[in-house]
Amino acid sequence: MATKLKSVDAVIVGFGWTGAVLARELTKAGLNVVAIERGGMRDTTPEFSAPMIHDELRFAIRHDLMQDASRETLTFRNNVNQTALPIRRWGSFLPGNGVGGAGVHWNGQHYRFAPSEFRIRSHYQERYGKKFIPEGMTIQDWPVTYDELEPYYDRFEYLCGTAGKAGNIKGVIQQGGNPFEGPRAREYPNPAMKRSFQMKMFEDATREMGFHPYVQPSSDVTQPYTNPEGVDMGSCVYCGFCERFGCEMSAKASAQSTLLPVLLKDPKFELRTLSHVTKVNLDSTRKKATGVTYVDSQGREFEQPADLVLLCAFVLHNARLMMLSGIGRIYDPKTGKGGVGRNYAYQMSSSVTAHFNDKVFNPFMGAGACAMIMDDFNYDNFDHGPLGFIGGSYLCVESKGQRPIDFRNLPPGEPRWGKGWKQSVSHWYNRTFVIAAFGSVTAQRGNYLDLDPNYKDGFGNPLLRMTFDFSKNDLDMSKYCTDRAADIAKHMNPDKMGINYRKGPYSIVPYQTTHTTGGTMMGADPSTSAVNRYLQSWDVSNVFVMGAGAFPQNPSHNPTGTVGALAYWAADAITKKYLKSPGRLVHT
Amino acid sequence: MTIKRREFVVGAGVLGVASVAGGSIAPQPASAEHAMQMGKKQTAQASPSTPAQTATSTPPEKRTYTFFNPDEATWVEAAVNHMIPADDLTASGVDLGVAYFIDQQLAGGFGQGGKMFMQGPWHPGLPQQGWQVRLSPAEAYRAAIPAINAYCTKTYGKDFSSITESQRDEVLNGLGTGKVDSGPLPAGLFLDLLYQNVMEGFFGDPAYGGNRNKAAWKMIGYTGATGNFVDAIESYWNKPYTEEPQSIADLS
Repeated sequence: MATKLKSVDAVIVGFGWTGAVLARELTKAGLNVVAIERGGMRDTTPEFSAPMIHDELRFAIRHDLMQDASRETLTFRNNVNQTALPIRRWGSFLPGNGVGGAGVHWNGQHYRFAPSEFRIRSHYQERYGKKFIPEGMTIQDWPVTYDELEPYYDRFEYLCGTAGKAGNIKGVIQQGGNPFEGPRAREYPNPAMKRSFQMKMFEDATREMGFHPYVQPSSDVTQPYTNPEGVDMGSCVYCGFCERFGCEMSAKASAQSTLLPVLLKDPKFELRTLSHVTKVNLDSTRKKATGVTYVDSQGREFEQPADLVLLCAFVLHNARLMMLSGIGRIYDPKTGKGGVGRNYAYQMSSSVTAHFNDKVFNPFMGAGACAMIMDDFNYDNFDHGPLGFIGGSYLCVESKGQRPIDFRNLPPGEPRWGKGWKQSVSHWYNRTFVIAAFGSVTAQRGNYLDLDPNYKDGFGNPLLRMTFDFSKNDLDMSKYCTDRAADIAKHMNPDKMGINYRKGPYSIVPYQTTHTTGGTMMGADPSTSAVNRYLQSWDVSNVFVMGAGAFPQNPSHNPTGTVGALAYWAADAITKKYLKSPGRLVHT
Repeated sequence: MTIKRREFVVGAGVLGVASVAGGSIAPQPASAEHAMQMGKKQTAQASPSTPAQTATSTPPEKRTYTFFNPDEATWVEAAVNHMIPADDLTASGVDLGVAYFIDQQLAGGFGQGGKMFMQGPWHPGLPQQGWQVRLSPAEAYRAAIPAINAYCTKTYGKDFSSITESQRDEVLNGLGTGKVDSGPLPAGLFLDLLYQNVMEGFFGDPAYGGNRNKAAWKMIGYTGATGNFVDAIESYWNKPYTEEPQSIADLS
């Protein structure tokens, strides 16, 4: 029997990036906020302290900061003709856990999506004709424009202290930035990252080839910085331990390094850790949430009543919680109806390795967001007409710290073990770099999330079921962009090179990227989306759902910049519109 | 099968010298040519005969396996030394602690499947659905090793530890393709697990018992847990970085 607690103004489920942003904005507006996090407390000190944190085995390989799959996982299949089976150990993507969520172990790669991406269906139809978008591809325009989001992108970048060089300020192209980006109101808060030798080689080669390289926007801060919340951040030391690690320097932006010091002092805010929300409770009309039910680490069940419920967990868990709570209609691929679970997408990755006998790259130096990028084959920045596919990839050389259990890129055909392998790895480890392609994944009718009929978690609730495969469109896109990466590698005249195309079927075994998107998508039509343009549930108007689940498809660039911008955008709608007149903010 | 008794002795005190009964554990000095190639300072390596400091330190602590039975230890040592043989780059995998590392990992949370979802129902699944066998990693070793030894005895008349180097290559490659039976495990799974664990023991921090004297890091020119390249990332363009690697213990 659940113990009923005293009601609060707002309850936040999951305390990562979006939970921290919402908690801060709502307490500032005078609300009492309780955040409930299933994982434990952790902070820069002592949990991310050096040298302990510089442990590849513990953090990168054994996934110390990630969700414990023994307690909760999801099931996976490529299509409805297969039986979904549990992901018994993580591989392809790594859901986070604990205070700060996946925002603790990200790399700090901080992008905005291109303006055309927000109206992708209209854009491709206008440029290439109505027939260009194939049957079964369910890409949709976003119900919000780039221009509307720009002030919120800006706000999140200044919160994080993002380091970069603007490419377009109020429509004026800036030297050294990304000329393809949408107009921004002002320059980044901090100067761009330093360049490694391999980044410089990529920059020179791509410029010679007529492309437009730029230094990746980084929320690994490049100089001491005090953010608008008054929180001091450290300066990145290029130690090479970002992805899958916490940052001992408070240089990588996370809830801990940007907002937590303020929130923990705020009497209007309370954080409850090791507490797992199992359900959002609805009243008898099923149109209003009354709060949430959660189980603490001693197994005690509590009901936390609240006027507002904010789902701020990871993409996959937000979708599952909506389904477990009966909020919205679960997507049915046969009819194409239902907004929850719809348009699940991923990010496409592939690579080219370039090996040079007479060069040395010191690949252990770097940071999670220390990279040279180009967008010439991203979005609709190139003519798709003769190519016949939709979408693109950014190409890059990343210096993010090549730790040797994970990263030992040898030329093709080298031995896997023995003396020959030892000679090869000792020679090539320091003489190799990778040109990576990270690309879009279009939404498809057959790719979706729902509840699994066979498997349950420790609380007896059905696991989430993922049905996903790469489409022909996306594999064609990836092949084309990987070949462009190979062109660039050839231009640098390496002694050897290897091409690693992404091939189907999608597998959950090798790590690819944690950029899962969709499932709680935003839209203009309640029958084909889960939330409206303010991330408000169509069906239960005092529930808002944050995160990359809102993306109608995966645009290619990494999601966090847009996740943060959308959180500020939704917080503004809640504090300026919803609180004045609670109810649906969008009428159809 | 002959049971080979193995003992590991780790030197205490500042030298951190280790020795193993019946074998050398300290890496042999890298060749001058290789040191030049890697642009590294050639450093004095402790030789196997170097006595541990005795006057001021406690006696060396013996290491032993806590998961493997003697047959498993023999098999894993043979596999580890096949993948990481002694040469002028490093000592053998066993002498670097890689087999000991695997034993300790299998005895602990990783080996016991502590963070793996292990509830049924169970189905073989498709390769893209990953691990679907109702065994923890430790149980997978326990199941695979006797099956592989049985294959070796049937095919070569000897167990895995006694066949030739090229026969071991055949067996390991056969595990990848499914030609060699690994008991209840699907083709490829055991080879992937073994290979990953060998690489972890070789390249992981020495705190876990492998990569002794940071030999694998020195071999490739990796700096380990060292953590500040804010100036070096530009000042070492196309120049080898020559500082010695640091382990977590070195920096603690």
